[in-house]
Amino acid sequence: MRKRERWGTKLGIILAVAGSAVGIGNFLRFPGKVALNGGGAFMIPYFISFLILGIPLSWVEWSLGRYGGQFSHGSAPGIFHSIWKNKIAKYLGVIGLFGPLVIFFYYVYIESWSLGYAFFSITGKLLKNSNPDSMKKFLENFQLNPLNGAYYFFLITFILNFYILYRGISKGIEKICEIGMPILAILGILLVVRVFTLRSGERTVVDGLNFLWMPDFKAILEPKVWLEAAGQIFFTLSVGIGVILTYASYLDRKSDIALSALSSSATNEFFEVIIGGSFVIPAAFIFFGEQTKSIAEGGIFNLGFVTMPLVFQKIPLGSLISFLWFVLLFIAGFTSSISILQPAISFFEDEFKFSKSKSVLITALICFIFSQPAIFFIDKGVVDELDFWGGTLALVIFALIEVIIFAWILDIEESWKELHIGADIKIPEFFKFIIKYVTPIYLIIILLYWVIKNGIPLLILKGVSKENLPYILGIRVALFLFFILLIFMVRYIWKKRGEVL
Amino acid sequence: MKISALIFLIFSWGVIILLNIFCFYNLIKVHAKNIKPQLEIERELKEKGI
Repeated sequence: MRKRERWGTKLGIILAVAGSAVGIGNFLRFPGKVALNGGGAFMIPYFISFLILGIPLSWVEWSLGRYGGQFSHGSAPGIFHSIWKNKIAKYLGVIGLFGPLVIFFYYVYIESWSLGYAFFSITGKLLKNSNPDSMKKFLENFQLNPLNGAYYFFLITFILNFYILYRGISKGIEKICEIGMPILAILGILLVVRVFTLRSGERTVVDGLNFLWMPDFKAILEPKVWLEAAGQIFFTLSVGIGVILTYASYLDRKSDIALSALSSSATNEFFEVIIGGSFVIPAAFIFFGEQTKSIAEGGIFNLGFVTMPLVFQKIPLGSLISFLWFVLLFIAGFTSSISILQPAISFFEDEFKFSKSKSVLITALICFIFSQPAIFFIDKGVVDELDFWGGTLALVIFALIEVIIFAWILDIEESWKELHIGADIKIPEFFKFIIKYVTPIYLIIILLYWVIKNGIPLLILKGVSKENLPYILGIRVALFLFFILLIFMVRYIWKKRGEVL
Repeated sequence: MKISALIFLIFSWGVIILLNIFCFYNLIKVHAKNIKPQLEIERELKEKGI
């Protein structure tokens, strides 16, 4: 049996998982959600979701991953099959391959915008746009005409991602996260310090912080706010994607996972609540006052790629600060995007027994082909479609499967013992009850809410124009065929091994 | 700063800072525990001139 790679150090995997979790959403999505869902009061459902959804799911994923790793499985089909000897288990695992790949198809393009904007910040081209309309036009022109420049940044980002993955777990992912995460922290702190010293007329950061953190207790009586908080926790911790499962499979059997999972979650929360909560919204408020709420309603790209450059334009050394901001977004996006590719690479390496270079090449080829619709038909609703199937639905379903396998299929007592092998901390017993009952029920509620709120309108193509219809249906068919292809790949491998289909 | 906003800011930052302190204190403690025997072995080997 070929020896699988291993993480170099304990800190290495903690930073790699934290790097996967800390993404563009930490700096843009989180402050937007706080501003629109009750301000400081939003943190009550947020922390409760962290406790009953985020942390338990992290422990579940780390445990299942490390368990599967001892049988040389690094992706969900193999890991599920090693735990649950039912013939359906490996096919359920396909969701853990499909989800991260689909996310990558569009995420890599969005990530590359940060690189492009960092470049345009330094050359001064970005900050030449002096009002919201011209800044919006600049963004639209950049996104919608990729061959005018955006495509080159996409190619650079794409190649960089696969180069790091080709270097492997310890020399590639671990190394880049050990360098990238401290840089991210330094950049974040520098930017926060700059915001804390800003002033525009009478307004200072105190007004911005008041705007963001002033609690509206009526908001927490609304179920929507609780679901938004749960959704934010879900996305921010990278749970339900399959990444942690794969990362943990490269751990030794006796490595600690209880403390490591908690530490990577804590690191992510530092970047989200302390840095993410102190930058975008307070800075926007200093210059745009009460308009900030409508800016936040305009979505995260409006906030990050239109409003922030307008803020930078008004401050000394704006080009440099703008450059640092987009570098921060790029590093955050990069450490996340490399992580979402690793499940597919592990799948080819561990199940097909392909070499590293062959696995990277095949994954790159699949991703390159599927990224093209996301780039060239972004204005036709293709990215929203990819985001719903890969980045929303697949995640919640996959997390639900994981927690059911952990708590119900493997007995909770057995799973608890597994989680505590080599543990550096003792997890309080009440988490057994939470993992067995509370987390699955919470996930089912989230799933139903999203299906009703977003899924049904999307499925019946509500609001889709006639012009966009062929693109939406085209990508839907392509995704369906891609899912079937993954199922056949799994079937082929298990058949070849002569195991139960 | 308005008092209720300040309370929520301190509450949120406090929870995250305390959680990070707890995690990294334990990580350092475990690391120190693991490295101690290793350092002792190295010292013994040095004393023996190996």
